[in-house]
Amino acid sequence: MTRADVTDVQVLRDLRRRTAKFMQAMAVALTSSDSDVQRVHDWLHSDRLPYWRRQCREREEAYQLARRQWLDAEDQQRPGASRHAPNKTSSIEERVLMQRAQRRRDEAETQLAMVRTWLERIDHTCAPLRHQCRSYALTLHDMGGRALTQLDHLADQVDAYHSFHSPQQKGAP
Amino acid sequence: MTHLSCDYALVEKALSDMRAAWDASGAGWRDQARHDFAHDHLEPIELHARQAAEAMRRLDSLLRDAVRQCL
Repeated sequence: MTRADVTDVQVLRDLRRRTAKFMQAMAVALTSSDSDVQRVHDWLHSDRLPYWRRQCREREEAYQLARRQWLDAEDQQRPGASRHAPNKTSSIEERVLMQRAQRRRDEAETQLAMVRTWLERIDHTCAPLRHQCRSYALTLHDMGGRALTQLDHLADQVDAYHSFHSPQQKGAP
Repeated sequence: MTHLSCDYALVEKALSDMRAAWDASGAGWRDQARHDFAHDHLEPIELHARQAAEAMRRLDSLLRDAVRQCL
């Protein structure tokens, strides 16, 4: 058996306290990481996906309206095209508005595709990392538990040694 | 959804605090049990904790990209 060399049992107790604190920090961080994945997934699925779907629909409608107005303006430029509306000299303004509406619709479609891509990426790329984090959480919980038990055991041994060799023990009748 | 709760940097700090506590314990604990504890417990915990921190860092980076690009 090797010689024990612990000057003060408090050294072991301090180390145990720090180790326990570290294990707690790890558990909190790993749990937070896991819940972050779920939160972002839920946010994409329940907030961003319907939002950009709605934006696509509304912007498509706005684009179609702007397109019709541009086509009307084009018609009104033709001599004698309409008896009710005066001939327009230009349809540039309507064309600019239509192009702007088209860009906004395209942006919404791009954003919707982005949300779908990220939902897939979270399922396929984040899932293995999330699984790893859960695995680490379990492993570290077990390892930490054993380490704390070992430190308790060592501290108890040192306490027992010191109480056996304490002056009161020696001087007892 | 602009705030992610995981702060894996805290894990790095907790790791360095535990390592500092371990180093400090060397002044009052110098026997074979200390070496055994380092080999059997501390080093495996540190290794797994660093791997876990790396997995969390990668997850955090992905999630931040997702939030930034889909906001």
